[in-house]
Amino acid sequence: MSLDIVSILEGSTFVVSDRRGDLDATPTENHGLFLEDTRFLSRWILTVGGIRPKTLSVDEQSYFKVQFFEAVTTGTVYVDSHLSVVRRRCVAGGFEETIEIENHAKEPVDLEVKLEAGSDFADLFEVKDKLAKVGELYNNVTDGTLTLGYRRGTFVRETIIKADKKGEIHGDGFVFKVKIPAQSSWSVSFEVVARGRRADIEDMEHPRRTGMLQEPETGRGLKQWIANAPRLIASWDPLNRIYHRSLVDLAALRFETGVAPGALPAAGLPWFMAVFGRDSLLTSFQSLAFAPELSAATLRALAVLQARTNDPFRDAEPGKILHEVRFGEMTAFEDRPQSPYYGAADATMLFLILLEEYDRWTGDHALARELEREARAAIAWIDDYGDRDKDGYVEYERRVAKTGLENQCWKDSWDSIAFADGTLAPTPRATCELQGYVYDAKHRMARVARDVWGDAALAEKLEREARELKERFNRDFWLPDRGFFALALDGQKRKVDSLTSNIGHLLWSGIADNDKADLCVKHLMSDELFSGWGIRTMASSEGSYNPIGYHVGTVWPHDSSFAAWGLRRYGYRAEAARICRAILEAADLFDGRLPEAFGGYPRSQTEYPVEYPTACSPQAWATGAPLLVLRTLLGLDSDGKHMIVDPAIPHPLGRIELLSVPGVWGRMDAFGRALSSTEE
Amino acid sequence: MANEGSEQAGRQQWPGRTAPGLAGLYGRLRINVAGKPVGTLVVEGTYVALIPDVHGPADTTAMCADDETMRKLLRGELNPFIASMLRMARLAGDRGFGTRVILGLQVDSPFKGDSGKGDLP
Repeated sequence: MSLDIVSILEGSTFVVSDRRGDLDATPTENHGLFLEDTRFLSRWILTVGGIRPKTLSVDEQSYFKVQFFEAVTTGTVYVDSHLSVVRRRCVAGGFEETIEIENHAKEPVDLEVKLEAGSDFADLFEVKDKLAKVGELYNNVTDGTLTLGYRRGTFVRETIIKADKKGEIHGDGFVFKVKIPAQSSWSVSFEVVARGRRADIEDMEHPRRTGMLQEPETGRGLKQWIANAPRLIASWDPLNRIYHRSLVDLAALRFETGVAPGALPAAGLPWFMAVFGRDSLLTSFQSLAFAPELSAATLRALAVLQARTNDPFRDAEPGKILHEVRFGEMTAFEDRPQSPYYGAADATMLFLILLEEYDRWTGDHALARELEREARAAIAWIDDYGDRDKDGYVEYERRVAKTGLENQCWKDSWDSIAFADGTLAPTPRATCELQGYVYDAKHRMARVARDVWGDAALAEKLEREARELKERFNRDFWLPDRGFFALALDGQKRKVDSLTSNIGHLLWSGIADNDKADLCVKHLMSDELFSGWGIRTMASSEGSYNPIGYHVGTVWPHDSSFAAWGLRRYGYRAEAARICRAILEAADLFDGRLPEAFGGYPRSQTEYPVEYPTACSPQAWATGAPLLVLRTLLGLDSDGKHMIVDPAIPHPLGRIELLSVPGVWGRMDAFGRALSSTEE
Repeated sequence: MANEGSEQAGRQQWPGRTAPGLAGLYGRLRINVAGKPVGTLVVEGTYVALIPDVHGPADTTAMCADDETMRKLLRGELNPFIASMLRMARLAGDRGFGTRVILGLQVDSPFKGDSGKGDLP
């Protein structure tokens, strides 16, 4: 995502503009007012006296409101501008904007103030796949209101724009002829409301209201959210800023589904302000020690939406946890299957992993009891449906080629699962981390079955299955000649022999035998996988490697954070600390906000991590990465009763204090300082 | 009221049916069609009854645009997300309970063979 954009958001509503505050959507600029996966406004351009004001500064006051300070320039640097403009915008359901123009001159001025407005009502998938609209666009002006509309049969989406000052209203915007006395100002406020309705029946709901420039309701306000999180005091100052940025971004990404109490983390901006099972689960895991309520909300919402039936179009099977929910036009007309779509082979295991982690961290056993039925259905899905051919491994293959996802693991781009020579692996694909997640989920749920559900027989069964899977996996996935685990077994049960970051997830899950883990660690820390800023998704030695390939060479901060956590699990403290330090130093260079992914170029080649051109930012699990990194550096864990603190901090990071960490113990402080044993 | 479950009340008063997809759910779903309440779905675990009560308490109200949408809901043929996107139905009140009921009816709905409004007059 371009750095010259300004985004404000609240829930599923967000506005992406340029630094003037204008929206001018093009195929390469994702500007707009977005709601329910639809762009309700694609053009919103201010001119004053025929001139687009020049930006002086942008004050991003909060994630939901912003001020733009501008001047109407005279065309030469030698004459001061006498007209300044301040645009104040607040988002919630639509947005409100006040434009204030100040005349600093000693004479009055006559101006034409024009605001162009337009909408393409684009759906995410139309933008992504460059598809034309099926229905028709329209606009009308009535009673001082401009309505921009889109109709496809009875499906109607409208943007209703009102100004608080009288002016000319046309189909493409507003024009005000104003006279501003000397050293005075003039202002106009707009209310922009997005709504959906049917053409043939009376509206069943009122148009959404905007936030009146007040903090919107997201369960609790930003100040309270920050205050409730643990307080960080770090001697390496950038860490304080990175931590604060992560908390603010996580607050901004909170998303209320309405089907369960609380807010869960949505996946990211601009096109991913939606529920994604995998993203919400992994982000909740990363942030459990900081905001455990996100985990509870995520688990409850995904439980409500767990698949009940076998539905090939949606890749749904009973017990499966969803991949993605969308509300745009193409989903509504079933041109796309995201209503919801269940094409994620890992989300069901991640649901179980998070449920156990939450239970052990918080001691809130009520949630594991409340979700027992859904958890049992998820466990059943693993063997009944996840293991499609009953070979003892979970594999995936889309059931509808036209609309299903080819890759249903976290590396879900088309070319991510390839042999070392670059040849794509045929489906069905059993990627290695899926087996790790199955092992971890069964191992964890055995504890829940025994301790919370009182079902010893299930616990023993799950432990036996996990043990057998581990033995089988270490035999069938190991590449003895290369010394790491295969990326996957392909449709012909061949080992896909690329060296990838997936082996880091195997350490997180605990499925790797110790001797094999040791060899994997050496690979993870090698120049081929470790760029100096993080772990590359694919090693530079492999045939498909591309430093700016989405899943075949870039560094994903969340991926690296889980690898670091896995290294700690196996006792590789110094290696974990090295990766954590690298991620935090990259975050510092990204102004505290890690993008979804960045280039895999070696640190020896560049002093700055190279941006990936279309990375989401903020993106949920990139936002969560510094939080899991902090947990890793401090070695924070729970034994179900006590907080365990076992720091391993590299020297440059000095001392870290994390105060008031919530958990089963109530609130406790954690301290750590660098020791020589964790020096690089 | 949803999910708290007084198992007996509904079972003794109304002829019920078995809905395996509603296991573990307890509560009442009011059904409105074109703005008017037409009945209430009483859910007591796998037991479900559609009764003509339009005034009693309910956890959730399913507002259906027309009779056909209500029939789809009862037969387990309604996708609540698509219905919402197309503005054919929406839920008010405890939307989690309402969503669970609608999705639960997709599993062998006892109203599947019904031609009209289930047990409603």
